[in-house]
Amino acid sequence: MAFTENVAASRFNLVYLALTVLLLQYVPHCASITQTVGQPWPLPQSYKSGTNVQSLDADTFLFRVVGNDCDLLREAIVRYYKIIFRTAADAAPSHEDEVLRFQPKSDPTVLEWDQYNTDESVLGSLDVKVEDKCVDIGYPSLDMDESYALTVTTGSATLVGKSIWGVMRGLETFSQLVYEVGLGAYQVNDTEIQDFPRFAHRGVLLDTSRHYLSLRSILQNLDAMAYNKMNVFHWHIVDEISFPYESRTFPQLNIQGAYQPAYTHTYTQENVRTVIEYARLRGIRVVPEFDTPGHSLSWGKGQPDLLTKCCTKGVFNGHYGPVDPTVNSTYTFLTGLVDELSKVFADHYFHLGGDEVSFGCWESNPNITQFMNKTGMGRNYAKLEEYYMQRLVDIVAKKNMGYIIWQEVIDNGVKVRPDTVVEVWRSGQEAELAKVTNLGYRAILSSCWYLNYISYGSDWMTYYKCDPQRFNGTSQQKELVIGGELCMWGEYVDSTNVISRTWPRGSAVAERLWSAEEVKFPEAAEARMEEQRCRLIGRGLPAEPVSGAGHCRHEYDPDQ
Amino acid sequence: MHGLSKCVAVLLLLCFTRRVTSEEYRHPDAVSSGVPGGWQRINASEYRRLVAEHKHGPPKDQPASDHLDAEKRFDEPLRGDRGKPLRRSNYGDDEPAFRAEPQRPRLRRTPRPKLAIPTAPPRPRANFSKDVIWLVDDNTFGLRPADDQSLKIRMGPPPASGSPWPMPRVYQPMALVYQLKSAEFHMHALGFTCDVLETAFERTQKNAFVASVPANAGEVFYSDGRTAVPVIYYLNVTVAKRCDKYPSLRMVESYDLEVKRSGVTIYAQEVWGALRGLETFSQLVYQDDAGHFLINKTFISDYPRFAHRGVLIDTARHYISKEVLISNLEAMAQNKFNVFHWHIVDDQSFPYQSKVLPNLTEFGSYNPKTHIYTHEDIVEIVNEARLRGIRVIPEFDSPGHTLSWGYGTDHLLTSCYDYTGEPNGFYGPVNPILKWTYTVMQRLFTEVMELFPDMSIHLGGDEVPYECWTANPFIKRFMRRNNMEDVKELLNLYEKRILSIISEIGKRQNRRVRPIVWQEVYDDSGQVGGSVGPDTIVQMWKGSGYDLQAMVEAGQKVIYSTCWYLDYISYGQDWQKYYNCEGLTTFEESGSRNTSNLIGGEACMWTEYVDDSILMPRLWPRATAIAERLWSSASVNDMVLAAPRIEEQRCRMQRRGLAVGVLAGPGYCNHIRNTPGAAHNWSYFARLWKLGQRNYDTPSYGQLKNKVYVVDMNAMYLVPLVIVVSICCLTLLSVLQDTSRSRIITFFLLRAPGTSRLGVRGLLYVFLLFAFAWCVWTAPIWMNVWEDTKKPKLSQPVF
Repeated sequence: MAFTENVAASRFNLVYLALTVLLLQYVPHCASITQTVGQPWPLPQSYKSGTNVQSLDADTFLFRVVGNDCDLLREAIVRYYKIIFRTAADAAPSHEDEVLRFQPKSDPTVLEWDQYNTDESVLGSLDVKVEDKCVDIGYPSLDMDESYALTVTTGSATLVGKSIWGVMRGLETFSQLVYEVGLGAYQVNDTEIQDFPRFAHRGVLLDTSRHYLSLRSILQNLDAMAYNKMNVFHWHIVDEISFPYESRTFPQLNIQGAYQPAYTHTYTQENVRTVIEYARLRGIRVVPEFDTPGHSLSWGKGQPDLLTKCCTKGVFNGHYGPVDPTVNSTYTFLTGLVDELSKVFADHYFHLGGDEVSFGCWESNPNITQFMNKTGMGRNYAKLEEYYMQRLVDIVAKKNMGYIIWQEVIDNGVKVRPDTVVEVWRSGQEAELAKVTNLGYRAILSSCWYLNYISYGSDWMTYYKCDPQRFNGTSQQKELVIGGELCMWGEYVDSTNVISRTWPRGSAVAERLWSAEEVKFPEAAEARMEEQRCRLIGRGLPAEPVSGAGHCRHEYDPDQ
Repeated sequence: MHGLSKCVAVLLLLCFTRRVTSEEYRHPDAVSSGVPGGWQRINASEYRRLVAEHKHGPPKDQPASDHLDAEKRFDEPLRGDRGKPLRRSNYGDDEPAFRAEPQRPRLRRTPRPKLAIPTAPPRPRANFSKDVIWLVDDNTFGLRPADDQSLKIRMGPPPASGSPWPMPRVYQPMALVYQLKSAEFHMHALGFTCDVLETAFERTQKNAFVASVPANAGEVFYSDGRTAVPVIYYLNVTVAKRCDKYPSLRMVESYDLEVKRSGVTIYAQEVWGALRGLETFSQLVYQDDAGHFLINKTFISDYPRFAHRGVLIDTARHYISKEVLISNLEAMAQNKFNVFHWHIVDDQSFPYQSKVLPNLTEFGSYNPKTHIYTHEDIVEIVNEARLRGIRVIPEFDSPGHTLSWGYGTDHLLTSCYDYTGEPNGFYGPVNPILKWTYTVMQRLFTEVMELFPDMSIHLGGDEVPYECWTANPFIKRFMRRNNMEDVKELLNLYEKRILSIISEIGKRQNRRVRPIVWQEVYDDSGQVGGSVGPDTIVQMWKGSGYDLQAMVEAGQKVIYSTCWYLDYISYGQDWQKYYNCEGLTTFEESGSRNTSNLIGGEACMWTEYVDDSILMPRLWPRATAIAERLWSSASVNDMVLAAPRIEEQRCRMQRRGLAVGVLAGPGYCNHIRNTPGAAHNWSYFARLWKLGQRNYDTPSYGQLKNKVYVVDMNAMYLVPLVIVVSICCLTLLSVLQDTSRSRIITFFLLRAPGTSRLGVRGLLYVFLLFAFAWCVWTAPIWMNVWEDTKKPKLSQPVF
């Protein structure tokens, strides 16, 4: 075959060469998704970016506190200084050789840096102004003001927020505007941002019962939430399978109910305090969920007589069902537990659960039937659930706490107090949202954001498209939707993969909940999403690829 | 002299039939914890019966035996097959079941202490579907009480403890437990040794003794009130052949492993088998509540089902760092995989550092400074793989999947034309009609084959976009002039050239080459009357079991990967899909005429949606399921039996520091279970789980090889005795013989002295010679035993 090819080749070699040279420049670099450079995620409500570029010097850059000052602010500034200039620390050699300062051992982009290191202007500082009082303001809440204004112009940059929480969001945005052009060299474009969140409740649910999540991964998740401007950590701390919360009042709950209480599978009071404080410093609320009357099998081990005994033909058959609502000891116990939780957890809201109650066990128990006959409920088990929830709600209300419940409580016709927040999680979200808001309750949506369900490909786009206010209702009804939550249930998730599975898919939810309603096209967000993923990777979080082949400037380094 | 030899015989007998003292204990959890296939005492006749049963089916007149009875039989006088007392067996002579009834009761000074072993309560056999159900709706394990359909709890199975993965061919664990102390455990090579074995020792030492329970976490009381079990101090590996430098397709990975009171022995023909044996050993070790490392008395005889057990990793779609690749190699070794198929370059990037064609890397990689594999990286990876008995097969896919090559090499790719006959600016596959193409390939592959020592190199050949070829006017003209009608002939031409280039390079480098190509090359060249050549191996990635059958029967060597595309993910657990891969289960070992042609399979991890951050948790432990399919017998296919074991494997890998993900639903990693007094969530679930299990004890796994090599460590202790006795006898004989030629001596010698025939004396000389050789052979162990006896004994276990 060789000779034929030889002949053929010699004939058109020249033409071919010319053609190839000509065409090679048109070859699209299909290899990677285009990434934006220095664009924020989630997209601010008003965002103008100029072409004028200034550089930042890691050594001399200053955050100037021009408004109110407090420890929260200082902590945030230190944190964001480290985030913005994180590679500068790697770049700087340990000895004081100034010449080598930005030429580390294996500088991949030294040429690039030289190219950019021309005489453009240098941004020396960011003026940070908190307008409201910021000392001793306690914990973030549903009503906190998260708006801010950020301006970067030649020679000056200003960040103004009404409250410290808004300034935190602004610092996050500023850290995203700064981009690295060489190892240890940073630039920022002129920018003007006016920003505020679309929804007040932007949550992440982590389930620490199906699999125990290490404290480290919870804190990492709080970091990731801050990087995406999420503000509620919904801690589904206990469930059917295990009870990792270390209760002071009822220590047996944990000792008997946890996977491995003696060693590692427990959140001690110290751990819980750490989480709450870590979240507070980032402007994140911690809403604990103690799910009753269903999903409480693990409680029964440490609290005898709490659960309903399931019966076969009137005889206890060895299995347990939901919490037994007919005995007074249940409510004594709950009062004690709620009393403790109201002291341990700082947030005003408390998630009471109430989902997936199986009536089968209640039906089989003769004591419960007797109780229901006595109180005139007949065979209406929704009434029994209402009775239970009502008493639980009263206990919580006595502690002056607000509460969130799953949608079933409303679906079963239970009457709850009007200030209740209802979390919608079942499919058919539009009808449900309309129904809940029609009854005058505030609602949170999480139906379309079950991130524990995975599939091959770029599924973040479906999360991105889901809108909590897209249902038939009046504008008053739509205002009652106060936000949403992404859910990461723990059946197939533990510390090894919780971060990579939640982020950056959760970032899609973050943008939906923060940015304006008009920002709804995933195709337009794809390049920014890719930058956001690489940003998370660069900050040391194992965020998984979501948009096909590509690469980040700094790949994931688990040691970071 | 008869008396003397009888004395010797009795002495020998007594030594061989080791006394059973109260040193051997049962672990309190031994029966109740969920170790599959084991925790059950079995004696020699039972064992032979089972083997026979396995070979010939159960005896017709007998009902299937209840193995639980073996527990009861323990204290009864044990009889051999023919009603005589058993003396010695090939399998484990310190097995109490083999104990001979005393020949001469008067020799016994004290009555033998009875072993206090609690009789296990009869294990309830419940209907599986009654208590634990397989929740089909979301593919998960779960619990559902039979009488309350509304209550449903998803949960993973409780992990087993100390069970190996993949399941060995013959796996015979017993209920006797020994202790290992990490600081006082020594491994020795008795046969050939090399750096592979030495580093394997280090790795095993590290992997076997990873604590998940704090030392002295609690006291464990065994059935007789003691708090410790007998300690094993040694592991001896005998490798029968000199080590090869690199693993190959033809390496022998079989090994025999025995855990006994006197130590652990591994016998392997080649060092690669020893590696697998050491891995199995490290998996047999588990911890009790007090943090003791325990191991069960075990006999294992093992060999793989397929020679090629691979993991493909694509480093072109996303760059995977060297560190992650090496930790993947470690995970592969822990699952007895032996091929790392490195899909190193593709359309998206060219991270391979080519020194002969540097522009390929310079322009083809994502970032030529950070996102490439230098030659040093490659050498390091190949070496790390070699030390784990893993072959590295690089894949340079052409003519399709080569877009990234075009950035750095002019005229390599075909330019595509649109329907108007104008170039449309895109580039297609490699241009097969230019001489330059083959020059590039020749240079590149010469370099590649110098770097990668393995016999195989993967040449790709999949998914060639023919449209670009057929639209190109030059190629059209070429085809016309060469009377080619089908564009597939062009692929055939290209592949032929590439294969001949490869074999030329092989000849020049003086090595045999077995190139691998993707299925399309075989299919397409078959359609145009070509073939891929006898040395080429074809990798299947699409199609059904029927194709496989046809290919194999046509005499084609095949690697199978159709059902193992692990980059495709779905909610819930999907490992059962990989575990019982249909393409392979329909392909029975006995069902096909030409079994040997299916040389193995590969798990594929393409990296469109995978990078450093997620590769390990996504690949493992899902690939673990594939490991068992490729290693173990085809009959090991019950996923309910496998579930607790794979769960343990996951936890084990996690404990050893690998970032493996979640497999089978809610649960946690810890092997402490079933300890009275402590609170364990598993107790409830594990009970239900076990209720639902079929009998774990049936040793149905695998079949016996014809020959079992077991180095008998116990005989070691006899060496000095044999030597001393022999020397005494010889001296006595010589003295007697020389001084007085009495008739008595003649009588004892059976033959007149001075005759040339071999007598007892001669036999004794031969015996002495053997004993001496034996002594020399086992000298290293000996010395250690001797040294060890001088150490002060500690009353408390030290960790």
